[in-house]
Amino acid sequence: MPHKHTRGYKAFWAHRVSGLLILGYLYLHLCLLSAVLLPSGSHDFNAVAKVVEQPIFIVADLVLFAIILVHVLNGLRLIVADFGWMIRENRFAIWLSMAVGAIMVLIAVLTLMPHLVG
Amino acid sequence: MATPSPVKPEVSTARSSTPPVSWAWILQRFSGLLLLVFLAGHLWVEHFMNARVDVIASRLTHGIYDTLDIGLLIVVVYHGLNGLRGILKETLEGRAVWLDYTLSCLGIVTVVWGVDILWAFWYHRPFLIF
Repeated sequence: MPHKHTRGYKAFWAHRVSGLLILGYLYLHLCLLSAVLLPSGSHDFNAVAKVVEQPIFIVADLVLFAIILVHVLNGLRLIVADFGWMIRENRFAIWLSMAVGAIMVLIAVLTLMPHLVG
Repeated sequence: MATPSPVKPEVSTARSSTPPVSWAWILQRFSGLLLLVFLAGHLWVEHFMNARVDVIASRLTHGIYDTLDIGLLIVVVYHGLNGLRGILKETLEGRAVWLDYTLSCLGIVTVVWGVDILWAFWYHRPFLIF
């Protein structure tokens, strides 16, 4: 575990918490799909699709996307660090990965805007 | 998995008995990179490329889309549970074998569950759930 009160320490915990949240979402995802399939023979996906297209679910999707990006971009930074690159520039690397993530979330928000405003 | 941070000066005493580079450690990085490809494909296919439900359902009966989803399923379950194993190993020191068995079983069950969901798209009903 990195030393407390450093940027690496916060990134370490962000990686852990985001990873656990994504694992939790995987099971939620499988549960939802199974629930749709439960009444055998009649899979009314369209009814479910109507529900999950409501703005609140779009916001939840965007939050999920942001959490995944935190994990993906920090993970890429860690792989880069494993090769010995950007270690002393660790502050910059964390800042850069989060900036890239913020831009990607912004693009996602703009893409999903039609669904958000209904 | 407990990812050693670049700023960390030494390996923590909790993991001093394990070699600094293990298969779990290497595979976590490879599966992570693989996930990036699979997840991008999954999001593109299921959410952007004509996201109408019936279209997705009919596409899922074709080989390439199934390969993508089964590949994603196996890799994501491995990566997720291997990560969980790393976290749990820090607290459950002496019970690593018990932990490995449990997580392996959980992983197999999860993959079978996921494939069963895909099975429902191929044969219009799941094999295991009712």
